[in-house]
Amino acid sequence: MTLSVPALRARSARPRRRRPLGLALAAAFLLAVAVAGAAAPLLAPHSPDTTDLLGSLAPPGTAGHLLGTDSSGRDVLSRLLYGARLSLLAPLGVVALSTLLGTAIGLLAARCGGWADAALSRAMDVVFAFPSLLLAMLAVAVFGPGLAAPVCALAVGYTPFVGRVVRSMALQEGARPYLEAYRVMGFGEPWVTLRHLLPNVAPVLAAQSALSFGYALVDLASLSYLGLGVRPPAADWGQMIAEAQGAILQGAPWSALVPGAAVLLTVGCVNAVGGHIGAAIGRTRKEGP
Amino acid sequence: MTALAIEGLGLTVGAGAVPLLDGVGVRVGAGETVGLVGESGSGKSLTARSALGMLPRGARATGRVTVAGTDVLAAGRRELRELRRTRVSMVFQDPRAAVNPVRRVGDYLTEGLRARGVPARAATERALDLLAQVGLRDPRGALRRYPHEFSGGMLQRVVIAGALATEPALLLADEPTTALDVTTQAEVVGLLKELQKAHGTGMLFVTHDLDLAAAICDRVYVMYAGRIVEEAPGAALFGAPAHPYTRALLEASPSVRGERAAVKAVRGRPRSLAEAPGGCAFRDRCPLAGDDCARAVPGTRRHGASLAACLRAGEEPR
Amino acid sequence: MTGPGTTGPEKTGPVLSVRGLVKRFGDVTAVDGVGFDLLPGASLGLVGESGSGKTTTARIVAGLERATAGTVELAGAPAGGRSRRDRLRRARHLQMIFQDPYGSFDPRRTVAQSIAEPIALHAPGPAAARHARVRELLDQVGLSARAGDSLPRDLSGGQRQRAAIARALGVAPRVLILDEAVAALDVSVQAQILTLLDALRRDTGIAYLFVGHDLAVVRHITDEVLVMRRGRVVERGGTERVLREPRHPYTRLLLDSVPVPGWDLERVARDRRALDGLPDDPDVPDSPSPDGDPTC
Repeated sequence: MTLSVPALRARSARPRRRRPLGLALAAAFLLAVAVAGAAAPLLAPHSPDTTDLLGSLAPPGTAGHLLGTDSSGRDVLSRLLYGARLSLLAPLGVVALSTLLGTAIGLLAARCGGWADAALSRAMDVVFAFPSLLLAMLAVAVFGPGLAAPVCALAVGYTPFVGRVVRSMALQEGARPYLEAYRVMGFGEPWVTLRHLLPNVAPVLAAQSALSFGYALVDLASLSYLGLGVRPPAADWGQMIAEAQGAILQGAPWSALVPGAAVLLTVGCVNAVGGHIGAAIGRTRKEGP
Repeated sequence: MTALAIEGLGLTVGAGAVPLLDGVGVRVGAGETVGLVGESGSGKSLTARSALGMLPRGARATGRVTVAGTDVLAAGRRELRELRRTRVSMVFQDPRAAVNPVRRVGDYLTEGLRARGVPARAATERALDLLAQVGLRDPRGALRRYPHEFSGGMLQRVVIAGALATEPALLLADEPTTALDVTTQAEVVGLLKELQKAHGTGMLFVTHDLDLAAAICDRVYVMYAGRIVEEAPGAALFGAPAHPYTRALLEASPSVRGERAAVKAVRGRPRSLAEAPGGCAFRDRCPLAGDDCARAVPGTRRHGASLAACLRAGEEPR
Repeated sequence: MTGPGTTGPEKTGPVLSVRGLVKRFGDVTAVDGVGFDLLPGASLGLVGESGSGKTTTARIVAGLERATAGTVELAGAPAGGRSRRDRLRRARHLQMIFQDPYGSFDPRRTVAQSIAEPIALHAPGPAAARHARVRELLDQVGLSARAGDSLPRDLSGGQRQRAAIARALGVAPRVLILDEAVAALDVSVQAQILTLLDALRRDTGIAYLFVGHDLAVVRHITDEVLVMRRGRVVERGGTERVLREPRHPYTRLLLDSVPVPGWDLERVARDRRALDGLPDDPDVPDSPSPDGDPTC
């Protein structure tokens, strides 16, 4: 037997009242990064591509260059702001594509069952076994440099993560009788799946997406670092780190540290927010009869 | 000797001191079968668990719970562990949830004995003996098998064997047959009664099924909203229910035998103590309720063979 | 809304007719040659323990499982089809109430929204008319408008089961499958739902196929009963007759297993031995009411 209802409420209400400060900070930081990227032309003190070889490797705090300049004399702050655009948009593309693909495959596998499930699950296992970064490098080798190829390749690489989560959630949710109730009411399988099953799976999907976003950002930054992502002079954070390698040896670490810190903080915050969404779902889902 | 004595047990939980139980008194003598009957929210399981010292997290208890001479509420961690290991056992509703699915049945049965320092060989012998007692056809083979290889009824027998391994003074059976088929229920209940008689164990049988409790128990306590509302000998409960709630329960359940009578629905739904009205908790659903029922929680009074907490015990409606 | 098929020649015939139903899961035969007729306004019980095939039978009738062999007819026409048309026709004739009233609702939708959905599918019309119909249905099962605006998790078990009944009634079906529909409820609440089901059958002439293990409840709600064991029907007849003078040893065992004052556990053991001594296939011919019991 269970405890009485008010007892459970009294217990579950307590953790919700405490609002985690870290979470609010993380969300605020992400919002700030997004705004900074969107409003880069307004906020950036300089053009991100203007070189000034005389003023190269100026330390942070130099007049006019708050975060200093890199080895080509470009303003680090401006490049950071402009870089935020690609650094955020490209992983967003990866997440959107992989979520779409993974959801479709996961739902199909869970709802069709039988050989369709077996085939889709094996296919996902194969992709799963292949490092997505390698996949992305392969794509660049075949289709040439640029962002489109690695974004698509990473999306394919991430699909099994999403697909597996969706499949297992759909199976778990599908065992509940309300989906059968809708079938008895005469609703077709696609309608039941998309209109009732998917929304009940969506919160978990959101948490999973937030986590993949962090991975995608790091993977894309790694690609850029290897010179396989964004084509110069356009910049994202990964490429900024790559270009700053020489500067580190010249005793000017800031041009690498600043974008590095940006990557680190953004990924950390995304993971924190994603994790919280997941935990919050766990709580609401437990509230049952 | 008394196997279990609960006196004036009150339980509140959380910062708001949400009440769960109020003034609950239950006594189980050695070798006696006592039923604890109630609907959801009545607190019957909480009451049974208090005998193991298993209270909800953050709960504050008042009153006394004594098991075979040990004061459970005052006992320390070590004492509680000792108590659970040797003097009280529990059989749960779902045997599959009560047994570790990846351990063999033999491990499950000997674990407790080994922890008490019984040598391996002797523990195995004892397990074999117990399995034979609960009616498994091939005890030696059963020791090597895994829980999933048993049906629900057979597994519940294994759990009962485990519960009796330490010759406890008190057996807590929390809806032990609810998850089983009717014919299996009859077997398991028969087995429980038989073993209990043979070992002189006191049994507290917790159930939502009034008929089942009345059929097998020497005495039955009926709980509603965290309080005991009636105590009566099992047989008397059917003949002359004293409390309007007991009567309502009986009239609400259809019956297999006798004339086919209409069921009489009780209005509203069962309450927990926190939701219940002041005074008599049943008064908002009771056909006999009057203004005086709101004044205070009615005291216990004798009516026929029963003790009922009602101002109008035994009165006919209207 | 009027029920489909309330006109026409099939009105007098059985509203649900099942013949020679077989269902195999791999090597296991879950249902083995089950057949019965359900007349309009009648109530038929499928009784048995777990593994008896009663639930599988009901699920096949509801279109949730495909039969290995056999036929299901609703109002005189085959009802096993998978096409959209077949699905919609089946749903208009037949609805189902599940054991778990909480699980049978989409947790994200209010009860009123859930009740409105099948109406929108089967009788598309202006939203205002639909709302009115939902209110009417809520009223019919004894739920307030406020309960309708609640999420399933904010209702009690009894209220949820009322809501499930309202949802099923929305399409004015002629058959309602009740799959252990009151088994999860507290006794005092169970009586309310039983009373509601009694009244509905009396007022609307809907027929029930009641799947259950609780003989007392089955006795209360059905006129006729099929006792199932290991996929087969071992006894059938009028409910009162079967419970008063059970003919099959298994029915006797089921009956004696019901706890009563002065419960004779010895007798249960005797029944079991009698059953064990029996050859395994004591079958009953596959035709409704062979012993001439009136159907209703």
